[in-house]
Amino acid sequence: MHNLILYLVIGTALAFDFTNGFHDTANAMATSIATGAFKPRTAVSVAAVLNLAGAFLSLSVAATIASGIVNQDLVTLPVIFAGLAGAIIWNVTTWYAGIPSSSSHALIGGVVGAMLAYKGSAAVQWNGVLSKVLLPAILAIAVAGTLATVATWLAFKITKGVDAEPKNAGFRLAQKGSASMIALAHGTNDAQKTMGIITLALIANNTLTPTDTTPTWVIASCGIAIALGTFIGGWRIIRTMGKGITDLESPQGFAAETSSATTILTSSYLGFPLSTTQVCTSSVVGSGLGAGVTVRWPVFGRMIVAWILTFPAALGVGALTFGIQSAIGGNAGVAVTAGLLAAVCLIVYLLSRRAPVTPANVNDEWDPTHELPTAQPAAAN
Amino acid sequence: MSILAAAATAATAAKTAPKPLIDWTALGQSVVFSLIIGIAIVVILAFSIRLHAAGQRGDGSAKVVETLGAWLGIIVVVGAIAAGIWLILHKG
Repeated sequence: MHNLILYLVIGTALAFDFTNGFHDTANAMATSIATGAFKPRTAVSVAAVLNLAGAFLSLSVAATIASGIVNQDLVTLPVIFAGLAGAIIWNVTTWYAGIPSSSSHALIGGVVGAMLAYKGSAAVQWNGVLSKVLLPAILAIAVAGTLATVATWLAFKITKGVDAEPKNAGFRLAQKGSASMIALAHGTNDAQKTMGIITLALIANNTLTPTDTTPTWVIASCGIAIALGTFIGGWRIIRTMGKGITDLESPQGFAAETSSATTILTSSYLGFPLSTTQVCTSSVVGSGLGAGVTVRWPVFGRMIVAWILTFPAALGVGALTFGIQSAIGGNAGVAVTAGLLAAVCLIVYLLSRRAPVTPANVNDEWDPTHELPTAQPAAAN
Repeated sequence: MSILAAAATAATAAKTAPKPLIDWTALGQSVVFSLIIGIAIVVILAFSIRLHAAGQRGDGSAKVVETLGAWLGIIVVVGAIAAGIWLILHKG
């Protein structure tokens, strides 16, 4: 009986990893694609390879899920499944809307929701929610936004009078390095997250003991899932980040990526990890402000609303999923909710076909009255 | 109680003390280091591009100095990227 739920949890965790990949491709590559540093297909290919490499390079695999947020001893396979369902539904919904949002915060929200439905509020450590969700979001906007604003202003100031061609060529070349670093960092961080979930599920199922190391097949499958998702390329979000927030030139692109990379790496190294998505988006806004060009505040405003909604929305779906599972009971409960999850994902995918964003039209000029491109090529997402 | 025993007791107490909700020291360091390193890398690359462009236009010793300065800046930026990869592999 437990094996069926275990397989469903592993499959769902890998599906989450896949959505995490295509949802977050924009973080590393949106600005490089917008400025022409990378061609769209090349960008997602490079990001996919570096995400895969990052999954294997990582030195410490975190075998915890929502550590410091819920009581770890009470986590069960149905709780993990319901948490993943909440995170996946939020990820595909925001992808459809072309809004970058934090997959980690969605996962935390989903698990907290499932735990609330399972054991009530006492099993949730609300201080952890404050310190791992709310505060990092505010910090990401403040630090990355300020840094990118100053860096962009200085980049333009220093290179004033330099011909456009060598200037853009220099910054574009440097963008390849900075974007690649973000992609590598993403692979080490986010693939680990799913490895932790699967490892925890294996421990909860008594397949592994808490002292066992993460099996190689778990590391490989998580790396491949996130790389595949990255390669598919979340073009809708790439378009919003690269074209929707502000108009980007290569000095802005390099300043934004460098701001993101230094903020993510220093904060992570010093034990204060921030959301990659929120840092990268804020950097793009800062690069627009620093360059003195138009920042489309309504677009950024929608992102802020989505960031505020991420935790409660995923929490609601996680709790609802767990409630349906419990009401039906046993394997059937998990199987029915898995079917519902697949159905929701399929519906969102079919809706997205009505106005697809592709490598061919991802860089089309941004029209505030019609944000998605009108051209509808065949293969797209 | 000996000094060693007192130190051991203090160390144990520090280890078992509840972790603060927000680590203000780490937070402050994150902000300061991010700002300094991020701005420094962009400024160095911008100067390298400026020097490189000037070096291509100039001649004589000025051209050599400008080209060398440009390449020095590029090496620093490449070094910063290498340091970033090192941080990724050795993150805390």
